[in-house]
Amino acid sequence: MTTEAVALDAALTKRLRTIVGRDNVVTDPDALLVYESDGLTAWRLRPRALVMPGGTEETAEVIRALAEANVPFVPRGAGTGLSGGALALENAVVLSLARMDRILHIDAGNAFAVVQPGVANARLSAATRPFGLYYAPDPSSQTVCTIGGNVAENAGGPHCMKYGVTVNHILGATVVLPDGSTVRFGGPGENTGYDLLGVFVGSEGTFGVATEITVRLLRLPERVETLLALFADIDDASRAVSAIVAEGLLPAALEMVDREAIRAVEASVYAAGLPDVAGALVIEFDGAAAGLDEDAERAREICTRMGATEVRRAHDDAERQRLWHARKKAFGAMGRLAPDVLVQDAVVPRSRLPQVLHTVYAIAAENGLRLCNTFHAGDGNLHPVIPFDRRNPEEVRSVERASREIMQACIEAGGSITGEHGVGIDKREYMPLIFSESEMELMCSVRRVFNPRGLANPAKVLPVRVCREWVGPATHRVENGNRVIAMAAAIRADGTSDGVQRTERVTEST
Amino acid sequence: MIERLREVLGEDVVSEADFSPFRVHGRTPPAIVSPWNTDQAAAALRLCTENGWPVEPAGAGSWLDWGRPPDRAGIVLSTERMAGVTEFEPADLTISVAAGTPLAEVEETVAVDRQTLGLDPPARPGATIGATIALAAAGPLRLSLGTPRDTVLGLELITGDGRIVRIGGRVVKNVAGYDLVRLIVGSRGTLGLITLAHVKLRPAPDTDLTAVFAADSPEWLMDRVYGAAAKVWPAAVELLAPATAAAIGRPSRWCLFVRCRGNSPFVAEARRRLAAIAGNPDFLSESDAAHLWENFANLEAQARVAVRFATLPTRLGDSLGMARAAAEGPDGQSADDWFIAAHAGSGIVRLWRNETIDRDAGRTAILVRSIAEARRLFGHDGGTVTAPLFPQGPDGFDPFGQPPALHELMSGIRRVFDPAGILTPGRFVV
Repeated sequence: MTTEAVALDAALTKRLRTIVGRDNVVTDPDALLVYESDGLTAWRLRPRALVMPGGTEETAEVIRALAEANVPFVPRGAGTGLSGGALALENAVVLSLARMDRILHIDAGNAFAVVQPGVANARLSAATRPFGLYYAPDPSSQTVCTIGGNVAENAGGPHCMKYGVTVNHILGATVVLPDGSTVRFGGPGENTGYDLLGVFVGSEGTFGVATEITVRLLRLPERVETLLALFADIDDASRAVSAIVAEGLLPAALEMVDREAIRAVEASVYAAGLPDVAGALVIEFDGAAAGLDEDAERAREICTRMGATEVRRAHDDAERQRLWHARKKAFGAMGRLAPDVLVQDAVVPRSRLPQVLHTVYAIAAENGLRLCNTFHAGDGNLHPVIPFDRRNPEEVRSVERASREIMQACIEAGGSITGEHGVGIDKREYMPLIFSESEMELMCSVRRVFNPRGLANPAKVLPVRVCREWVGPATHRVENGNRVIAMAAAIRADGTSDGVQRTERVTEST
Repeated sequence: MIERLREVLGEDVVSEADFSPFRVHGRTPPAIVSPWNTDQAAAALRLCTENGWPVEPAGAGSWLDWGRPPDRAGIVLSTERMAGVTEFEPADLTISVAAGTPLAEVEETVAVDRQTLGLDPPARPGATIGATIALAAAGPLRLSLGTPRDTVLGLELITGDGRIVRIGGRVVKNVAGYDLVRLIVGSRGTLGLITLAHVKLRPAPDTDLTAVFAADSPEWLMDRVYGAAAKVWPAAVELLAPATAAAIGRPSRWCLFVRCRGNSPFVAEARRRLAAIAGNPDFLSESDAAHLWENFANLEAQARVAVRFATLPTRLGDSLGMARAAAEGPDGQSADDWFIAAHAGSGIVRLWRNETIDRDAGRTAILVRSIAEARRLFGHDGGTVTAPLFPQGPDGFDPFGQPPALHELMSGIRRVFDPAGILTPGRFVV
């Protein structure tokens, strides 16, 4: 019993159009095709409608109208998320924040900015640069991904090693709660109660919608030093990472790429003239000019001691960009190798990297898959990349099996199932691998405080059987490669529900 | 109650409090429960929830006089016996420690590998990491190293009704599920008893320099020195009023302490640039500086009454004015037993006194009025004024000034973690 999402009823559509303007409500199925997935394209589901509010008040009115009609919503920024967080499950309406893209205020003296959620990450830094300031978290999609999306996912990036992730840079937010009321979290001064802002960041759109965000700005570094160290043995590269950390250096970024990734980049237009080595580290220091040279030289010395065959140091900006190519262009380059690419995201304690990397390669080999690693080594944040063809059901199964085995290995090493991509829909079923039932129930109860009816981004983050407050009459299909996952709400005779049942079956590939 | 606690938990875990250091707002609690492990602590909390007995979560008992007096005198549940480092791998730059571990012990452990926790709250000797996290307590180094909100990666927590939960993790980046760690940090024991913490470490600096600028007015220091000092990438910038400076052995003048930490070329350059700033700073030797910072933290750790004015860094002057007004007696004279200091780069001014003012109705009234005025001046979006220590605050006085708009969400969260409302009832915002 699977159907496409049902259309919005006419009265609600009319009401939404009155609030945001006719053109800002989209119901035409063809126009909605763009919104059927986010950056995790393996999962697709066309939403029933798209609404684009223009500000805090419109957002609140839209959410109130939806709540009255018992229609759930999914906030969406640029749609670059990698965990399916913007997928419109449960017949949800997509609430696009793309129109809310203004930088409202820059306070250079106090080093903060107030922005609307649709402002692109890199645009914010560009706008604050003339003041000698920038916004530190730099997810790899930063030219398009939005601050609102970054807040929802608690996004990371290569420079988190020194500067921390999104939550460390958010000072306040105006939030429309799922009942349409507007509240303010954080702000100047100290927390006088519970840190609601802190728990809101990273809640993946399930606690409400941030419509104005105050971000901390950092002073631009006086200087940047970038090194690229090449290793004939991947273990040596891992050991160099541990040594750099253990010997008291704190690079702004400490990134690793392996042989497969280097080969893919070298075969692409971004070739940086790297030899065929087992692995490379990109090591970057920034901050005050004084002392930076010494840090860079110590890092060079450590890499050499750990067996680096060559250490290059950028002398200018152009050279620095080139050194970064091996790291930044690897995803794209891998994408040329197969029709589909799976990017995993997991974290291990930094000291466990060598052992976990071995396990990851072994898992790929056992499953007959190619795999490359290009990741935030300094944070222990792995991104195994697996090229595959989703039209080949056997390969899809291998990829899924390998994915789960990789997760398992990272957890056994004391790590986590996601470092920066979020849980979304993709990793809900991994949650029980690291949290007990009572821990997940606690999370669910906290969600219920913000989102008692489950209308904000339903069926995300926690396994559905754990958190089942959404009781709407949802029935639809979600396609994941050749799998069709049917979701249905079992509605009792009295109109209440005993929750969403999830059935899964593999159908023939067409 | 004591018999029942002993029966369930064992004789050695429960003691009567007559000779104990644990006093809550000057009152001796009905019993002290000091479990040896998490299971015992959970059993204690289950028992208290079943019977509706209030509980005051504690570490070494350094900070028990915070907030309002409790509605009902609670059993002190202390983590003092749950101490020690459970895991420390230097290459991870993280550490796992039992909540009852003194901060100083954590620092000693990691110092061997030239690392640091970097939390420098005004704390009495023996103050534990669990209590530091529960209060989100931080000191001058917050400017560069952040507060426990930035440092804590994961916690083991026992909820009010005795559920043992592990939240967050031990890795430095983790977005699996909701970040409940954030709710617990700074929740002052109202959401559970922290029993274990996984925290981030930082490399210890090779060199640590402190420069002291002195002047007759804070305005001169902020206008002529602060801006230039902020440009040398300082680790901490602290402004002290004359009485505060005098109490730690400096001349009785307004002082700006500028601390720079890093490798030697970095610190040498900072020193060169600081020396060029007007005001002819006094550069302290590393051991003198260590003493100075220690004395300063100790002075503040003895506070019996404390008020915090927090706003944007550029409005520090407003906060300072409010703090100075609050310290003035009815005669308009600033008394020298009131101390004022400011985290200049973070916009936080603290006003404190190391004696209570319980017998001084005039003083109490001035303080209450000053806090109310400051809150009015800041409004809802300008800053916060809190009185974390004001045990003699009059009836109806609100130490935290939490705006009512968030009350519903906060009470909802409280009910999730502490359904029976036994954890330090009536003292925090909900």
